[in-house]
Amino acid sequence: MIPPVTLPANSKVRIPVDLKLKPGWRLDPTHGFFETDSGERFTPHKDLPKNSRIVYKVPGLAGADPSKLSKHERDLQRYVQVILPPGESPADYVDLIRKWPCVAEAHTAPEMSLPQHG
Amino acid sequence: MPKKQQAKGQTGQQTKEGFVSTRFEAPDVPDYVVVELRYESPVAFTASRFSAPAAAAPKADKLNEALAKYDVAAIRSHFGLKSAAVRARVEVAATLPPEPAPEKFKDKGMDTEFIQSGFVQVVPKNSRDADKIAKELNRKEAVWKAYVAPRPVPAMPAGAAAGSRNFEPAQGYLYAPPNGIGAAEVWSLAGAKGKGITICDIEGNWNRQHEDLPSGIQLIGGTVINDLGWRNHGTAVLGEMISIPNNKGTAGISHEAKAIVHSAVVSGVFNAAAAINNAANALSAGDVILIELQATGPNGKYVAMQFWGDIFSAIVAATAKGITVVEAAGNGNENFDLAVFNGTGLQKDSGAIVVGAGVPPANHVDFDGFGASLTAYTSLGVPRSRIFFSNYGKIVNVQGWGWHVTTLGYGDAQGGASENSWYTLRFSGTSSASPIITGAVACLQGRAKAKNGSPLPPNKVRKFLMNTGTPQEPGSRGAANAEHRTAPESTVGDQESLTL
Repeated sequence: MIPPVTLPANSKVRIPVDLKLKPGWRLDPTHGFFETDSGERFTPHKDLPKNSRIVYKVPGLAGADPSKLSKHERDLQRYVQVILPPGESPADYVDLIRKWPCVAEAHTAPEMSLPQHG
Repeated sequence: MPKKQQAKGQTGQQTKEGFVSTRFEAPDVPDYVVVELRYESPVAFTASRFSAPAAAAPKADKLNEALAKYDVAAIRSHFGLKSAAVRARVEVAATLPPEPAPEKFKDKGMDTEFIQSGFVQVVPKNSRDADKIAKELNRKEAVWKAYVAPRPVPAMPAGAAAGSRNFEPAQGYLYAPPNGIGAAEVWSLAGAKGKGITICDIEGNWNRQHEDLPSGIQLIGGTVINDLGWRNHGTAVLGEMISIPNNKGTAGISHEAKAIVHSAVVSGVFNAAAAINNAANALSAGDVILIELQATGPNGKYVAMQFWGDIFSAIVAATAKGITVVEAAGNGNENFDLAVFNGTGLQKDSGAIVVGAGVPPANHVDFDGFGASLTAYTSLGVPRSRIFFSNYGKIVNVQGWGWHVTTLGYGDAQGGASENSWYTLRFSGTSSASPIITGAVACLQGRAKAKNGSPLPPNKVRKFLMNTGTPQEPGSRGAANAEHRTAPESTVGDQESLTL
């Protein structure tokens, strides 16, 4: 059997931490903090190594008016990725990120492969 | 050891699998005119003009007048005769009556050399002039016949074009049920080749320059993974669906559909949700998204991508736009109905058609005589039973061939120096099964648009395939949990499944 096709060893693809925001929270991607309509704010930088990035998973939905989105698009709007600098293991940060007040759930992003078998 | 050289002009090479042909490149030679002089015309020629004794000079002059209109690079013997032999033909020709028969005039010097001396090559500098020169010379008295020399190509087996072999006979999945999906049988119906439908394949890389793929397959987003394995995979997937039916290579199930591709790597990380969302924004109702990915689930086995919430939501959102999403179930031999998956996307309906891998019919690789030496795949189980590695459960809707599918890439069926002419008869897994279903969906939606003016909603497409496909066979060798399978899996087998 040939094993499934996984990432090549020299790949520069990084594995992020995926998180889902609690309802009412949003990311300010420019300044890298989370906030609510009521003014609550959480700044995560102290928990992350330098050069980490926090981005919406689907940027195209991030700024959309929720009233014009379907239920599942609104759900998709809540997903965020924490992309760590090279050499950092996402597994080392998952528990910490789960404790952030804005986070509903967090996990290491799936490392995808190709479902070939033969 | 000295490096083994490929013989000059050789159009194939020896590989571990045997001798394989490589693409034939037409040699860069100019077109030229072959002029057959009449036996009885006492005309000879030099490197630049025709010539004749005084009595026959007008005949040679007319030939030269015709050639004077063109830029002629060379005039030479078609058989490579020396000038003395060419000059000698004048004396013999002068003694011959009109239309002499060679067998009657051997004793007058009308031998083989004389006959060959009447064949002249006229080589124009511009190949486009060859046809015009031939037409003009055909009207001259000294000429029996003039024609543009044919361009030879390598002799190929019947039905094959120059270059790659014709692998269509090995694509059993195209043909009649219960072995195939019956696609070829409905291609004559308007729209049933997928016309008007766009398929977006989401994975990691593709060889979009493959000789058997249409040009213009656009990468609409993401960054490709620069790796041969990923490139072969994407190429194989596209080949099953849209390879060009032209008596060489393979024929795609829905070869009139348009394909676009999106890498799952977005901003340097895997992000299938973004890829699905971007694809959905680029597509319209009736189009198809194919998710050719899997990832490790909580049991350490590969599972379908809708396990993850963001991807599940992205699929639902795409389906709500009328786009049919086809998703590989994955190769983890995992039971999606286990308690560990309660509440996850593996036990909820995303609207996608989730595809498992089934055992192909026992005889498919024997078409056209190749493949006989392959692993005895029949040990996988009876045809149309679940292959042991395929995931299963209530959300798995249909299955396709999951073993030794003939398509593009890899090079085991046909190799060569260029990936552009690589073919395989070993593409396997839910990877090979999913494009078969995707192609069937494109055929169905193309037909629906042609006949009804609008495509079917995704839930009807899925129901249609599940209800009309050839039922799955029970039994799966090597699958410990095969008896847990309760999904109404079926192959898309009936011709009716594509006929509206």
